[in-house]
Amino acid sequence: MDNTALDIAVKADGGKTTIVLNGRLNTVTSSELQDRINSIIPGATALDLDFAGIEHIASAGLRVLAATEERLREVDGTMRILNVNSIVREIFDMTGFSDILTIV
Amino acid sequence: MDELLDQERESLREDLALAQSVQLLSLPKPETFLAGRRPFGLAAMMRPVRDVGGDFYDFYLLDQNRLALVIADVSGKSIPAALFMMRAKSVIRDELSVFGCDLDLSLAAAAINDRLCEGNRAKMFVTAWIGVVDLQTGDFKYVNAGHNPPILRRADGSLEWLRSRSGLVFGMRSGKCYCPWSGHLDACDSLVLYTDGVTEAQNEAGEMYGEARLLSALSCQAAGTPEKIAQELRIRVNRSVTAFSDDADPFDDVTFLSFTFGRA
Repeated sequence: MDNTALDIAVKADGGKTTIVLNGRLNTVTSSELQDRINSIIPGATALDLDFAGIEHIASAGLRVLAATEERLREVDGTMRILNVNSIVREIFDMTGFSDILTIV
Repeated sequence: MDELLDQERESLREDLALAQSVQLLSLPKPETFLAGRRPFGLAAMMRPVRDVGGDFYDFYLLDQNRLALVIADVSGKSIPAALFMMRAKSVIRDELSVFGCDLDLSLAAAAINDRLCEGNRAKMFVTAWIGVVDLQTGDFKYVNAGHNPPILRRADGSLEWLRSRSGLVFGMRSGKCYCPWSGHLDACDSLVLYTDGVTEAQNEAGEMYGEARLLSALSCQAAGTPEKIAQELRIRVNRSVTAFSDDADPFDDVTFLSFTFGRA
């Protein structure tokens, strides 16, 4: 797979929506993710983002997560980030995003 | 119709080129700053990936004894990031000067953050490392709002990471607290600041430059005056990143600032 691409797979199960991601979250792919989330959010209020296939996240990706978390919080929804690798974890810790996101 | 589009594109290109020059001119130049033959050394590098970028560095005297050093990285690219960059730079300068002699960096950082959150509907944020060096003693204090950890290079060439964190990136959530940290520099010790455009520079195979290569570039022989040392560190890192990324298209702004302490 092109190492600049992002594969986005959405699974809905009852009240929970899981977005499974594969690839890199850079400026271009983050915009694609934001568009996809925007189309899902009106219906979904419990969102899981599976990061098992994410190698790295850029600041644009962090913005998408922060914006999504805030939108869900406004409707009393939840967002969780699952299966982060050590590189992504380090970026969350360094930027302080570990304190504002729910990372499982 | 095509001719009209071409003219608009050309006009936009010219505007962006002009915007870039405005932005780059707003960054202080080490050579000009050091022209008064100060005892310390400074070297800086800024390579935006597009016409205008979101990274910046800054340095200025708060008073005759204290030097402020700043490096920062705005989320996003192009015009929105460039505009937020100019605002962030000016807000940081404002708040550091407000606190003056009683500079409490944790209060200054909280004020910077709150101001950058105001009216920030685009939810842009900026990572920043802000340090203040006492030019008499070599003591320094700093806050790190989500930025890459700087490196302290001792005169003997040994390297230490400054991994202490202070709090969340600026501009994301108001009302946050920032923990200040401190350290000490002896003559010919250097602070090396950079943005993630350095550590995340990629080669054509998609590998990242990384922290290990940065340490390796800084492990060079660099001796002489503080000015020579600061310059040598910049040259070595620039060469190293350029050689590593070779023909690969850059993804992000590359920004670097080195400060080497020296006593008068």
